[in-house]
Amino acid sequence: MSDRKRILLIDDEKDFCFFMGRNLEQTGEFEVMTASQGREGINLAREKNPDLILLDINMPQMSGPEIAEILFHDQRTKHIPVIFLTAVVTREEVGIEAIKKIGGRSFIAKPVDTGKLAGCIKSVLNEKKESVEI
Amino acid sequence: MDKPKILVIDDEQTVRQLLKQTLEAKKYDVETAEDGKIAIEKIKSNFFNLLITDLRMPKVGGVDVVKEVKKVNPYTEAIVLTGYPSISTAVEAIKTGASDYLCKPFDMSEMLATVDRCLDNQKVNVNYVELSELMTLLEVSKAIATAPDFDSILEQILDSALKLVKARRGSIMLLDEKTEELTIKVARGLSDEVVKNTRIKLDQSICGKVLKNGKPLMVVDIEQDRRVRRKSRSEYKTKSFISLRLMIKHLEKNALGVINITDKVSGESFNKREQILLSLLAGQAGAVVENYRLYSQLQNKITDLKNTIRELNETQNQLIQIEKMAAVGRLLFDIAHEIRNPLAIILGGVEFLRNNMTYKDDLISGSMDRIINSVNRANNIIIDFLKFSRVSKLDLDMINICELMDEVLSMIKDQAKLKNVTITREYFSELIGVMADPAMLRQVFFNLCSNAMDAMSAGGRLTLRIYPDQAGKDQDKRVAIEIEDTGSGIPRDILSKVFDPFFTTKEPGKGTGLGLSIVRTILDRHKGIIDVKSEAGKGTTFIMKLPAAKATAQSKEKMTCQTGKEYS
Repeated sequence: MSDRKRILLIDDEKDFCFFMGRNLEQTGEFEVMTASQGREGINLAREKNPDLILLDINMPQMSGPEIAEILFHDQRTKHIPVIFLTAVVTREEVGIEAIKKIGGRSFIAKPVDTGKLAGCIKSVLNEKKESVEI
Repeated sequence: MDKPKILVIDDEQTVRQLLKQTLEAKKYDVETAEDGKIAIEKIKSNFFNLLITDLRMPKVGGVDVVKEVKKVNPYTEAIVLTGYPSISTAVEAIKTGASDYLCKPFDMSEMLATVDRCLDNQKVNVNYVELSELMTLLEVSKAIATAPDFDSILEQILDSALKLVKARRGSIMLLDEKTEELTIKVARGLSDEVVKNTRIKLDQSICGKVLKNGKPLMVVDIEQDRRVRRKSRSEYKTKSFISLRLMIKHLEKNALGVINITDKVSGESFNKREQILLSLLAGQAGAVVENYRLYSQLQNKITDLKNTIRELNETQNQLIQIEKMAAVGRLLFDIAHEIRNPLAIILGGVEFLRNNMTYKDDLISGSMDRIINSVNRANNIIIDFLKFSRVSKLDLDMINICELMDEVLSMIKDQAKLKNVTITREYFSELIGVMADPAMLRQVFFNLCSNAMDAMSAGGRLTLRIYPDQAGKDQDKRVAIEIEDTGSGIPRDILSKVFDPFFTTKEPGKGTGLGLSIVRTILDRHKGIIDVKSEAGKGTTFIMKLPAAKATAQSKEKMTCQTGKEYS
């Protein structure tokens, strides 16, 4: 159990959190905790210090980029890589430069299957410091 | 109104007195003359509405008086008085122009009735003459306003002046400001030599005076006129003339000059009335030319204004179109969010179910695959929608538009064969460059060609034209692309809607109604335009115009040229 990477998934779509959390865990490679809104997500990040955060861009109350900014300015969380998720745009339209600007290491367009998401998580974790494009 | 003036001519003093008293009591202004000679003198220096003249007088008879008054003033009426034996002479007088006759001794009430009738007649005649003069003045205005150039305007003014006072000879002289000389610009009835050689110094002549003080000059009898030097009287070669100042502003020209009129057709001298008429004409001519100038300026302004309004309308329409597309973009944004999230959940859910199946069941497993396929299909539709909404980026490159069109043709040529559609290429050359996003333009051409094919279900001809648009200055030269079909055409009432988003005539499920809207959006982004012409039953032509690329050696090299492609 100890070599499983610990992932925090922050998304206001609770059903998405439920299924994607389970699916990722069932690959045997990840341990997933979920939060359905920003404040809860930030607290979890501070307490549990996950290896990586999956962060939805379009959420009510606090948006993904706003959360990312708070995490980046917090000593406890600034080292944690962030992968953005969104249902609004296609991957081709966003370009990695824009993602870097809002503090992300990569970007995934919903809907996404577990295999593709897991692949993206692993490549970001492997290349620690570098931004990753898939 | 002035009292009507009556001249009573009779050698019998009692008759003169009786008529004078009776007529003055009736509010007429009456003068008398005891013989024809005195009468003629009076006629020449005064205007009379009516003459009442005895027929038989010593020296000059009544018939001669009537003849004379008709020469001087054709609309003076005349009544002749005659004794019984000379009734035939009275008839002669009537022929000469007298209006009526009364036999002596006359009944006073009959006399008054005749006077009234003659004066009424006179009014009608005067009105008629004045009307014809006014008509001439009006015609002048019209003719001058439509004259093509300055010289024609001057000719028109001179001819009208001659016509107005029934004269044969005249000229318009204009001032040369440098030499301070008047030269003849237009002439009638003068020899070419006179026209060419006449130069009059401004301060030496009568014309110069007219020009300086602006007052019209009328010479009734040159031999009696002290204003004309005795020496030079013979030079005028006429007895009577009128000279008037003429001021004309035409385009950038400011002309100052004199109009001279002489030689009445009747051979008589000019009178005050004619001088007034000519003054009116000269003033009118100046005003008409000036009005015409202002009118032309106004017309130009109006044309400018119309163009501006049209441009504003076009811009407004474009803005509305852009705003519409922006609204569609926002809508697609929302749709994408609202649909792709549930799709993500369905996808995740199905994967979860598959992972947690406790037994192997091909039927359930296959069903899950089908659900996943449907999720992907729905997602692809959303992606297509998003691709052309506001968020898409333009990737400009130098492309050969002919080559791009040929690529699209190769995509549809099999379908064309199947539908019995002939494809004709009419390219101005095989290499025409534009700066464009090739993927987007390909989409444009493909959408339009597909629509054309759909419109020609019974076969036909698809014509592609690419040529440089001749309109526009060098810096905004454009390339025109036409896609023409011989299909069913678009009914007039929906022609203006074809570019609207979600507008479709296809059955539900057969089209999104976004095809032409996407086409227009793409052209807008390329700073291009698209227009459609269509006639029901004959076919449809889409005409696009894109900014032409400023071709450089490098860019020319980059474009590869394919020639000789034929599609049939």
